[in-house]
Amino acid sequence: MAGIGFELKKLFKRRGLFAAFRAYGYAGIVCTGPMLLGIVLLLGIMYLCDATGASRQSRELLVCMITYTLLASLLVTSFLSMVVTRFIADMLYEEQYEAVLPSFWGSTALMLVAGGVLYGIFLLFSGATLVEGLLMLWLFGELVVTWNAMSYLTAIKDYRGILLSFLTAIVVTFVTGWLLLYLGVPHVVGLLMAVSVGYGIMLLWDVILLYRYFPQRDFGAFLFLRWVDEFLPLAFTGLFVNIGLFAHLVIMWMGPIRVQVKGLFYGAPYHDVPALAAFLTILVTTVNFVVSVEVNFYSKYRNYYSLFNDGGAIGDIMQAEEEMLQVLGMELKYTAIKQLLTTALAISVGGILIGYLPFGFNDLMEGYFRTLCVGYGIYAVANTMLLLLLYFTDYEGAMVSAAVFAGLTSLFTVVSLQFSKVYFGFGFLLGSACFFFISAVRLNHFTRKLPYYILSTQPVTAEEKSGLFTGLGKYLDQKVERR
Amino acid sequence: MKICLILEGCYPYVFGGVSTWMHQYINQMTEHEFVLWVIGANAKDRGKFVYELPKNVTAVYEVFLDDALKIKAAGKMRHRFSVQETDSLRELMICGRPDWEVLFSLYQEKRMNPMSFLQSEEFLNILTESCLKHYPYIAFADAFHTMRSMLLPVLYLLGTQVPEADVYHAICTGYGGMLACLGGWRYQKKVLLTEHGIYTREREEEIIRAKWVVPSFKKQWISFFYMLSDIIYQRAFLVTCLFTNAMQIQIQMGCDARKCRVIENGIHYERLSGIPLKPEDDWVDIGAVVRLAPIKDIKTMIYAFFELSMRRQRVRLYIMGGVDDEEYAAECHALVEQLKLENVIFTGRVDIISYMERLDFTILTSISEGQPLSVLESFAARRPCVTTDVGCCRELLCGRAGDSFGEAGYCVPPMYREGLAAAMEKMCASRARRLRMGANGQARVKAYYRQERMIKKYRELYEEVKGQWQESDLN
Repeated sequence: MAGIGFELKKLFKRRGLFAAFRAYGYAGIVCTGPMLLGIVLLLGIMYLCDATGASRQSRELLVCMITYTLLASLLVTSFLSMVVTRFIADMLYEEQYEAVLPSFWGSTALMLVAGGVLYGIFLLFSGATLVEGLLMLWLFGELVVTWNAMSYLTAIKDYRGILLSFLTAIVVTFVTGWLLLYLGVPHVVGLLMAVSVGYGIMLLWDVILLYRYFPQRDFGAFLFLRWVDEFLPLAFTGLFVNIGLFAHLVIMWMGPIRVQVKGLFYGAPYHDVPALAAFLTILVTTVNFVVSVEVNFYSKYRNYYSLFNDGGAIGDIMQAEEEMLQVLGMELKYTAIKQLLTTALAISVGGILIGYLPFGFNDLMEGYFRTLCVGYGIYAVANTMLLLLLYFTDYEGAMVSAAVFAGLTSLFTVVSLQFSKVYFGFGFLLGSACFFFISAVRLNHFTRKLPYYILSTQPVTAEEKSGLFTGLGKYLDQKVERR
Repeated sequence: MKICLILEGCYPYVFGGVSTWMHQYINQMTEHEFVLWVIGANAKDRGKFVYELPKNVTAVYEVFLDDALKIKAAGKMRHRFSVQETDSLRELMICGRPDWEVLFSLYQEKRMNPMSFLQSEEFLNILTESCLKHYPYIAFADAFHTMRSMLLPVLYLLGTQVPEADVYHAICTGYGGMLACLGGWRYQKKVLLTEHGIYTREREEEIIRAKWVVPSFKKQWISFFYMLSDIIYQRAFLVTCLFTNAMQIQIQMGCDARKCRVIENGIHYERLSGIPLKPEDDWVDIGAVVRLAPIKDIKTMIYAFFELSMRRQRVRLYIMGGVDDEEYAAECHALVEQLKLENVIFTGRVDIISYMERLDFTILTSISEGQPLSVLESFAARRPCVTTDVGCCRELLCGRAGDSFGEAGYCVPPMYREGLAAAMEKMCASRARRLRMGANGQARVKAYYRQERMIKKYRELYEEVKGQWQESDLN
């Protein structure tokens, strides 16, 4: 009899796969964690310098060198960190544990080569001595490996491990520092060595943890590069957030309040120190995200998404969505309130406290501190929303928000240089406000049409994205195999 | 007259009842020009015709359902649907009665991109709304994907290029029926429907058996095909079928009784009537002219023959036909081996006329049939027949009201193995009875199922359409 019927239907059996998106939340923390650690170390070293009677010049040079290395390493790792996180989450979901460790070395190698060359060239012309340069390059390498290892450790949620390695790094740095200074090693070299030893211990610690978790197997080390093509917006989101956070510091080093410490090492101590201190205030939102937003929101979120995968009826989905969005709203509100209180406290009490510290806070610095406290506070809440966008897989939205953050904080900071130096912190503040605004709008817009984004935007037929990075990955894997 | 024939999954790609019929039909109607508009499942079949097309076929338009998958979404959908359009799309999705003209215009004139629509918010909104109302307890994500796969081929076909013709004659309902209506709408021409089997019923059976359809969506898929058939039942100028029962079903399914008529299949009687009877020997040779396909239920035939050969020596079964379904064919061969049947012969596709000489009677075990040509051919060659009680087999075997030619074989419920074996055994038992029944069958075919008679009726059908034109031209 005539008739084709519907044998075609067999082609359509494809369902959406919701891997462990949860990892993004932690990836966001990874982004701030190293910075917080770095600041604590910096403040500690400044204290150490003052306590041991170092010259102002060497103290500032040291701070510059560590800051440069820290920012450079964070910038380099930020491009891959979210993508690698996604890769690990997917691999864990598919129970392909043997793919994890090779990708760690693959991604580390790429970043070391690319970052090492660039930073090395910079150091050549920076005016640092050979020993200083080598120490900085070494530290840079250590930091890159460490930050990358942290992406992996957060994916397996070993926060205890991370925290312990942080603490160890701090303790070891201080003890070594004391020791080297005691032995009469000059301040700059001695403390650079101390920091290298501290981070070196942390690196070893993290890598040992990784080896304990993941099997060591022969597997394509550059397979993860396919994920870069597939999730390019994620890569840029990571990069942009980092640029947004640090660009204003770098711009200040070129502005009227800069101080040339040595060669290409500039600083703007009036701005840097308040900025670093103000950055600490976002700690509350970071912690709050892990202990409250994540915990309360995630259960609702999971329930909602699983309804799409496990046969939830439309009524159940709508109800779950309502509940989830309600919790989301509440958590965001609490986050904002907590951050507001912290910022207010930091401005009123913190300002006074910092005045007692031996950094020589003046009125200008206190002004920057206040402005930047507000700026970072706003950033913290906006960043929470950005992470939520990632939970909902709105990668484009997240990337646009992050791009706005990076672009506008830089632009406004440059513009602010044209005004009185009292207003310098406002560039970052305004940029953060825009970041906040656009993230809020996007989150609101996106959550209004969740089923649309979950179902409708899926292509009707499967298509695979491949591009530059996939090709690079294949090429590198072949190279490695041939050896 | 330029007639556009709309065919689905048969002529000219595969052999079989409808294909054979169609080929002869076109060959007979030399005074008309034919355009074939054929729907296939896989684009890899493009151009792979198993028939040499008659000279009066002037063009072939091939559309393949799997090409629908290759459509690229043209970005975000910009079109704002009117209330009418939304209503029609909603009706389409709940398998109701959409305003097809609105849909035709949407995909033909406004060139809506099917993929963009299936990825649009509007699609989701309509689906959500109808799920809340009609399917509040089924898995929503499944409903979403089912709906997408259901609509994609339809929307693709709605946007396909329409050949121009004077009349659109569909040889089935379903997708084919829909295309015929699209053609009729596009060029404001009459639409005709000739159904050999009842398409919707066949789909329904297929869906009920299908393992890949989630049970909760079987109803939806079935209603979908009912909806597709409804278009042409509503819009056709005249609807024909092969036998009275089929017409009753068409009417039940919503076709207006006034436009329904029966045109029996006809065969080339003289080609077969002269075939000599098989000379008497110790053997009884049974023939089955069937493609190896599940719907023909060859397995039951083999089992029944197995029982027959337990009871009777010297019986042979010839299974004559090509392979339709590789997997099924392999299973049939395996079954024969497993039962250690030595006298089952798979001949492949053969020339029936020369093979008929070896046969005493024929058998047909289909689960579903329209008006099987193989039975008519068997009768014309004076061979009686054992068939299952499907389609109009009983009518062929026993005659309609007012037909006094007498019985021409035995009719058994489908899939009833013992019944088939018993009927074959009865048929084997007496040569005299076989001859009598064969003669009855031949007389019936000669009276009612000759090709000339059939072609004449279809010619009249086209004349009627022409008459309508002239009438409307005068107005």
